[in-house]
Amino acid sequence: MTTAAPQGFRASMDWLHSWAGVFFGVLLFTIFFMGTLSVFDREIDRWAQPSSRTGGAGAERASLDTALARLRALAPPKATNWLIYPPSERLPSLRIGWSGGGADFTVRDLDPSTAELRPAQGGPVGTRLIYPMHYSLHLKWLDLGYWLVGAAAMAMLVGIVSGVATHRRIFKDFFTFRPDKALQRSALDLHNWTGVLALPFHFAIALSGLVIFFAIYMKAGIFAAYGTEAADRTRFNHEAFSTLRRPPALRPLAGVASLDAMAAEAQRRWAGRGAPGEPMLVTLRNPRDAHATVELRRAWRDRVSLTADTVSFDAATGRVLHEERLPPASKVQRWIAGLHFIQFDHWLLRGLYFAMGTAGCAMLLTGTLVWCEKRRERHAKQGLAGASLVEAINVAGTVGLMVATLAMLCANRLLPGGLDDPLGAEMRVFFGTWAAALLHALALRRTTSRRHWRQQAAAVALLALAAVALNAATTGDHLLRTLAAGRWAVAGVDLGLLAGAALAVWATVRLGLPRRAALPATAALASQVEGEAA
Amino acid sequence: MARRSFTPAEAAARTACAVLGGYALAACFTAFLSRALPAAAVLAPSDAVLTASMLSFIVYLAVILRVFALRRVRRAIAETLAVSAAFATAAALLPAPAGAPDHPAARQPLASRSPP
Repeated sequence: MTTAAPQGFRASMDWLHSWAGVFFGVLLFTIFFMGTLSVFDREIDRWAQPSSRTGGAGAERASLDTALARLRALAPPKATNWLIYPPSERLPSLRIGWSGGGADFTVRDLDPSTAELRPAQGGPVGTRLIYPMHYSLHLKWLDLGYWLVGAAAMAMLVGIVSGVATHRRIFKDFFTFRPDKALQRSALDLHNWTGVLALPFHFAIALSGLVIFFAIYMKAGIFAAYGTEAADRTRFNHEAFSTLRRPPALRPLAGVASLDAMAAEAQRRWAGRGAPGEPMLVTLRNPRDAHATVELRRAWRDRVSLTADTVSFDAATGRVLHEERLPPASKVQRWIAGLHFIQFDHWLLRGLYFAMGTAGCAMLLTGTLVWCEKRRERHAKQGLAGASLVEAINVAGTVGLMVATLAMLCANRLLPGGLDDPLGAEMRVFFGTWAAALLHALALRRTTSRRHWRQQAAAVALLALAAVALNAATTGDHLLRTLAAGRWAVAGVDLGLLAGAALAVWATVRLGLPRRAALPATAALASQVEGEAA
Repeated sequence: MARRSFTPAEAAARTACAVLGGYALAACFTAFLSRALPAAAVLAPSDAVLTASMLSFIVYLAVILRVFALRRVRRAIAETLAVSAAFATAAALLPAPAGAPDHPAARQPLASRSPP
């Protein structure tokens, strides 16, 4: 590598890597952190909604028609979609919900045996706060959240390729970890290690995230081949994803035929196609119109692909209107989406997704730390304020995000029962705490000893322990009890919180060590490693 | 590590070329392929759109990297514009595929077909 061009290439990629990281670091961390938690979104729901933790009062299962009767009583008249989620391993309640027509997407949990409404204590923060934060940042205006997440995913791909390109000795770097060297060096080692270890996962997860929302991010193909009108889009959706088009009759519906009979028919057809399974979602579209349809989707538990094998029925007669059949490229798109969504049942793989997501969070956090450490002293000497501002934003955007999430979980356990909108209250606690974390970090931005990093890391440890304690105090489900009963959803969230607290304590201590504090015994070893690497 | 620092103007030009020019090129590529594959009777329109759209993200990534890897900014801008224009022109010259694609999915009985 003596010629000028490759040297320039590597330097360019280094520049690109740094700036993509600085510009998108906080956004990417938010997406990765929320995505990693979303791997266990339903388990977090069960932790946050104690009444949904157990199965039914009896062994029998309430019928879909009973659930429909509850929907008819509860859903507002304007809602255009009624939803029924039959109970499953990850969601033991019988869940009903409604959306569309200007009605907010709302879900209610029913006892799976009696279909009695379960009292709501706390909102479904896993599936409705954490998970949408992952892909839309709760920014609905002009799809801005989706576009920011898409831009961050592209930045992730750019960061991965440029990061690999800057490395002269990627293999050696992978086996180098000097935890006792100065923070900048240790953080860089950890950045390299987590980055390289999880590289294929990170690349696949960012690219598949873009592929999922291709119809938002890249409309040029649909425009060129179908046109730009809403009707053209409907035609594309019908051809590509075999969606049903049935305009309302604008006459009232006399009555709905038996949903349970439709479910039995759908199961018969799925088995006939060699893909037996249970319905996981029953959707009634235009539920009060004479042209109401009932869509049954097959549970995703046995496959990667997100093809739902939807069978659509005429609600009034129970006659089959349509069966979903996807063309080849659509099947590929659904498979790539499934790779990202992990809706299949496989606890080991689910755990690995969580581990790889955590590696991504560590990679982003340490990358940010390296950038800040490099510049703090230099910029303080030069009297530049920019780097300390960026550092404060990074503290709040990474550690502060964890503080906000944990404060929200604590609030979830402290909110009184019977609130109209517990999720709204949790949302306000989450964003309020996040804003407070930003103010805290900005107030401490002139620190020379990483006080903002350390204080927020300490807050993470305290709040994680508090969440576990509050869960035990408010529900009686402490770890000894949930572990003994094998209730892994609740026990798992508690164990995750404890592991997080331990990590946060370690980080608080490590961030507090003075600069260049190499322990004498390991310093020799480290310099030896460095000598070999050179 | 030899650190190259772009001048602010050069950094801005490369970033704009990569982000906006790269997206434009990827979009023109997608439009072209979405028309060319059905026109050449290789794929049904919906398959062509999906194939092109999924590939577009890789094309975008490649353009971003190339814009930063090239030594001269002018060359990067010229290349990006020229290739985008070529794809856009080719796409405009091709006809949009006609309504019913020759695919089993489209031949299903459509109880749902909306009234004309």
